[in-house]
Amino acid sequence: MALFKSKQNFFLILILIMSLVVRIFKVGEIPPSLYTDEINQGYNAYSILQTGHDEHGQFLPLSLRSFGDYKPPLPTYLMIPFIKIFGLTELAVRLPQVILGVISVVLMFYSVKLFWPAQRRLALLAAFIAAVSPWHILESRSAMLVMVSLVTLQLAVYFFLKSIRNIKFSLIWSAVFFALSVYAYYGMRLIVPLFLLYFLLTFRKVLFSGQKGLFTASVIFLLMTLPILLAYFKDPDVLIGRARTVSVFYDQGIKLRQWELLSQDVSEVPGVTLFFHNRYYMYGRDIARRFLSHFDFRFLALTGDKSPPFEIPSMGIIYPFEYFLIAYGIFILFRKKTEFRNLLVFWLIISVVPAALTFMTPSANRTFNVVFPFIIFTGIALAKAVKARNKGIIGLLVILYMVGFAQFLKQYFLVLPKEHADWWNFGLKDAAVKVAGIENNYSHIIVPDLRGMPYIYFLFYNQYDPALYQKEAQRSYAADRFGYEHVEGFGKYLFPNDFTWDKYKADLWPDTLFVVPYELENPQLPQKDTVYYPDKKGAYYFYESP
Amino acid sequence: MKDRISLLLILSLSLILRFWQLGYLPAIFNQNFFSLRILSALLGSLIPVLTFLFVIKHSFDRKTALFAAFFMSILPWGIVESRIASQVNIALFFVLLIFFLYSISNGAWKYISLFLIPVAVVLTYPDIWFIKKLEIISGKSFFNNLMILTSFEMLTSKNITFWWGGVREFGIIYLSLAPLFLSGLFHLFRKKYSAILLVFLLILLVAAMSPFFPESREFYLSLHIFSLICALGLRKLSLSKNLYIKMFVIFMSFFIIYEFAQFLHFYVRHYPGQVRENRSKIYGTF
Repeated sequence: MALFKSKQNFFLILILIMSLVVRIFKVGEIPPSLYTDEINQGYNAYSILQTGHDEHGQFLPLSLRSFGDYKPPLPTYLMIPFIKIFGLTELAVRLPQVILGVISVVLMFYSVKLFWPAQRRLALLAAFIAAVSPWHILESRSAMLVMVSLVTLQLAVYFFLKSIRNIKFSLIWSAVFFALSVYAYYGMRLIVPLFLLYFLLTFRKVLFSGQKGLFTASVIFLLMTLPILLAYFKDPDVLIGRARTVSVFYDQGIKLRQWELLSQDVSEVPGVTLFFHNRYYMYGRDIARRFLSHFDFRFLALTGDKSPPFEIPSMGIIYPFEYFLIAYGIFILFRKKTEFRNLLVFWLIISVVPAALTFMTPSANRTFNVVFPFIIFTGIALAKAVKARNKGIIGLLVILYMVGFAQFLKQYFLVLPKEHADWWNFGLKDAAVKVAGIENNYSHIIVPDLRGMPYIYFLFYNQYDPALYQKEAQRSYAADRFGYEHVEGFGKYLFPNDFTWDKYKADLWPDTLFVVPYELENPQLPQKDTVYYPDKKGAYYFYESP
Repeated sequence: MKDRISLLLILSLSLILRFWQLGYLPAIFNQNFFSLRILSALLGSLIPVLTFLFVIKHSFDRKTALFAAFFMSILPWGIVESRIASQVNIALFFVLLIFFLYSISNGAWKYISLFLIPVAVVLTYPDIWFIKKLEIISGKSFFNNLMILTSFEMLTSKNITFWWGGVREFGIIYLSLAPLFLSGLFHLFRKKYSAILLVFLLILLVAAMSPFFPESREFYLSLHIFSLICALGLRKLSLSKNLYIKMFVIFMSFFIIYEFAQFLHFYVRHYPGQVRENRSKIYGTF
């Protein structure tokens, strides 16, 4: 009851309850299916739990090779206790993100209190904005790595700033969480060093005063990151992973454009043409363009990320009116030259840099860390409005949030699972479960690898013995043009990624069950069964060999 | 005296940028428009001077006004429009001229000057959409156009408002001016220059309502405001005592010069080829 004595605590608890409810409600069913990355982490967590090895047979990996994209390991390891308790289920995969999402909301509150101790109203507003943020909720309800990185970063910065305020052992905790961030998400391998550099430069007098335990914290950080640094020398992909194949430098567009311009300049002096058409300028310009695209109103407030599964139907990742609140919050921050202004601006810029270096922009997932400064800026603008005690403006903001949140709930909980289940590879679960019941009737089960890496769904939903799979997996480790490695099969399952009916004539495959996506529907064969999307359209068709 | 010399230098630069190889860069398809090109180049060369006066009359200091004039003389869109038979360029000249007259007038003449601004636009820019084809576009299209016009991409990377005849590889301002633009925008809002912001908003709305979008050169009428904002940003940053900001300003200055050189190279070397390839798609006065 002491908790409720304080009005602030009361409202905070209300906000946390709301956060939890909106994040945990039907989290196993909405989004309507586990996405490929989620299910891969889940199965690998299960594999490590059962055998100590991942699906590739790697013992306690520092990087999950996965589909050749080398996922950072921390999110997967966090799933292990939940899989132990709840079994290999959607809930076990997503529950860590839900909990971290709520922790993130709490951290918003305490971070603001740390920045500006007198601003209790702002702290509550920041927590509230995080609680109802479409972007934050989207990432809290799916295991797409970034919620882990956000929380570890929030904790790292929180404890660092605590250490500046002379709270004992805080610097050590900060070092621990910075180190953990490196294992949480790829972008953090660029962001963390930059953050450390920023803190070293900004707080050098305090840090080098000899009273903060800088040496101890540094040693802890180095020891914790040493394994992955050493692993880099053995296999660079452990540290860099898919970053190489998604970077702007991998894309041929700039090189082709440079070649085109140089060809047009053929009569010029070579040094002059290279002065103008050099890759430094062209890539620099491209990266700047991609960086700025993340602040586009249409991206943030109207359409969001158009790459599934990071899309919310007909919505952006922030409420449209929040765009202007963010701008106004930044304006207030600069006008008053408040403390920690530079840190927030730095956080904002640094969060976008890793995504700007890729050719798939704008990206909501890769820039998720920016949600922290965005929420703070929005909170600053709201706090100003509340402080002005203008009932009209306050009323308007309340209505805008109510309408916006209601719209989000409708789009996310009703429209997304019904009309866009395909964004989340819906159908593979049902297909795997149905096949499990009849697989003994067949000597082969062929599932074309058209999208979604179907093999992992069959492993997950059949709770396939990881030890057996590690021996049986047929894979060439040859990467496709996107850098992904496919599994050709295991046991009686085959997953060809070059499937056509001409190539896999049904009469040449006796005792075979074909489970094909709707694009490969074969009207010439009798359908044994069908898996439907929620909108009743066919997702997967089952055919038997004649 | 120093300011006059600086302004004279800016005017000289404008004249060179606008008159050098006029009629050849880009190639002229209809010789009847050559005299219009000369007029456009001449008035376009004087626009930086009028921009200077515009900024001074809005109570900014002379250095800011000089920066604005300089930016106006080198902005890509300003150069592109001044070197063709551009109605909107001529319209901008008269808008700024009449505004200057408004600022030095008294009594009834002030209001008459204000009235003359839209008249000047209509007379010098008969291709403006509401004269050429008065059509109300859908709310969705209008909103979409608005978003494009206010996007960072339009600002720094890709000016699509001049479909086949313009240099689309550069935005309204150079990328290197973006930090100055943001700084200037902040200070503009801070000082609450509502008149300037209202004028900009009006031009933005008119441009977004064009049924010919993305062919919306009406937005060009706000180019002096972009120059002002960049100039204000540069002025405020240059006044900072912070060593890092000073270093940043110096670095950005070199980058601005490099980007300007990039634009000139593109304009001289690659743009003519683009115009030749799309000749059939270029229409109207050019």
